Amino acid sequence: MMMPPSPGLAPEERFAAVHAACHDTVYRYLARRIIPAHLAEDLTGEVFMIVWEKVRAGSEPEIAYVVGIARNLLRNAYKASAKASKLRLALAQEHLRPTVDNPLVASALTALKENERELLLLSYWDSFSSEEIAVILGSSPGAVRVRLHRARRSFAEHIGSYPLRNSSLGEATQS
Amino acid sequence: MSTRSQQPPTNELDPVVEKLLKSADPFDALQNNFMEHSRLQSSTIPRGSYVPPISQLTHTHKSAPKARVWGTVFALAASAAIIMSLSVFVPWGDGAPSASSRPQVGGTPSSSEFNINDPAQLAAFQATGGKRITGFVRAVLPTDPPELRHTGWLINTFTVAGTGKTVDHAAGPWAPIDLSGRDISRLGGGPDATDLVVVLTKQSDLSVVVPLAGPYGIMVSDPQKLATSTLGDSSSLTTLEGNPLENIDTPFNGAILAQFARFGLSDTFVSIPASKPIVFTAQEFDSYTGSDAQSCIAATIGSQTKILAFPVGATAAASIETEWLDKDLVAHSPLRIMPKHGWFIEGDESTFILDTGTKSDAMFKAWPTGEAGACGGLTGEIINFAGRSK
Repeated sequence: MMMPPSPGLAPEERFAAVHAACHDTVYRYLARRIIPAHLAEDLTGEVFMIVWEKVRAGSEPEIAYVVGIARNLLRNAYKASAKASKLRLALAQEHLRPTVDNPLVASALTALKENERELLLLSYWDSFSSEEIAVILGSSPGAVRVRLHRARRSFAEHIGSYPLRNSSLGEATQS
Repeated sequence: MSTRSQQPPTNELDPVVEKLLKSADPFDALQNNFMEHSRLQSSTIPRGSYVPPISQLTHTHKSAPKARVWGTVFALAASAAIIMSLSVFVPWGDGAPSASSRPQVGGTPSSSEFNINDPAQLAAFQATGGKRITGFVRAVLPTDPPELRHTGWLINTFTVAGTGKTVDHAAGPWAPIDLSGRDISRLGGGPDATDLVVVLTKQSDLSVVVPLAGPYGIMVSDPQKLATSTLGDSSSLTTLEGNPLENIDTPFNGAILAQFARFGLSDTFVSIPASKPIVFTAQEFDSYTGSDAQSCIAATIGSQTKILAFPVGATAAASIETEWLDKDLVAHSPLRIMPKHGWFIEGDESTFILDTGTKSDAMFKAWPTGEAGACGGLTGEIINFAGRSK
């Protein structure tokens, strides 16, 4: 969602406000999905270069909109071909996705459909509300809630069917 | 810290399962330092001094003061960080040695030094097996094959003068180049952090390029000089120490380098609209490259002027005929537009020159933006270029 610019503020000041409000969330969003850290940093920079252009054009993007930009850049990066730029090339490597150490969670996440996994992670790792996820994904809050419900159910089912269920659940309870 | 409200999601997960999922979050405390660095760096974007760790381009804006020195410092630091990180971040790491501990590569370069703009010396050099290579140089990346990383730098050769060969760029061969002991502070500033260079070497095997010793062993082309000078006045080549060549009235320098040189585009866009682009028929295109080595294109469509924006990462190259040597090098020359994925190869559909010389090129597709823009004194609505229309 784009807000009208704050009256009386220079673009640099408005950018600083958006940057302060959004940077850490954007960086965490990217760092959870790519490694190593300087790739996340590079892509975060790309996000805020776009944000700067938006601000200069008179907009004041809110957090969900900014994360939506990050999501689009990340998706494009993963789709990049072998002739892509250095950053895209780096991001295009599948092994640069962060790994989930817990084999139970990793297995259950892998078993989910891509859109289900994305919804779960936006909700439980990034702590976005259904309304915010709707902006990020270009969907409606109602549709997000329904799909999130299904994703939770699928994830729980996969967790329940994992052979090491008891021991891993026990570790999670103790942590 | 983000000021975003932390609304908990509707919790329909079993609390134990929810805790399990959250505990698998790969973002850990170790990344806070990187996040802090990212926050500091990206906050400088409006000042035009932001340098991404990977891309290593100093991002400037027309309204922002240029902070080249600061950018160079970070570019060098970023280069060093990337090279150092090769041995840290599995699975990239291959134990890449530091510059000081690099093994000797290739043969021993000649110690002779000469300015390539001296025709007699250049001819004598080539007569004894010397080669003059024109190509792009860039720092190695974590994604480069391990066998190419040992010198820290790579060269993509365009031409090898004196051999009659022009390399087929479709194969995209990047070969290691040994720049140990040289001043690399001027490298990394071109589009996509690559620089157009001329290298002199006496090697027969170019699998690892070792420039001739001395200041003329490798020279870098200054795109800003190309954008603001004429060939009759000066060459765009300088040594890595920044000393310009003179007496350029010889083949193989200015004009050809100008055609190889790439420029960033003033107006770019990221997101591809979901809607279908509109077909425009232009009566005229005007290209312009400013003193900041940024290019733009304006299209005259009926009585209107449209400013063309291109996908982020696209670059422009001047299409210069040799008889234009007395004119501005690239300021008003037709531009060859290259997407991020394109190269200078004959028949490559990914590169094109916007020109009204042929009907097909006068028709193109674009998405209107409703925003105003300017290009070389012309103003009009910015339209996001989608492609030619045939």
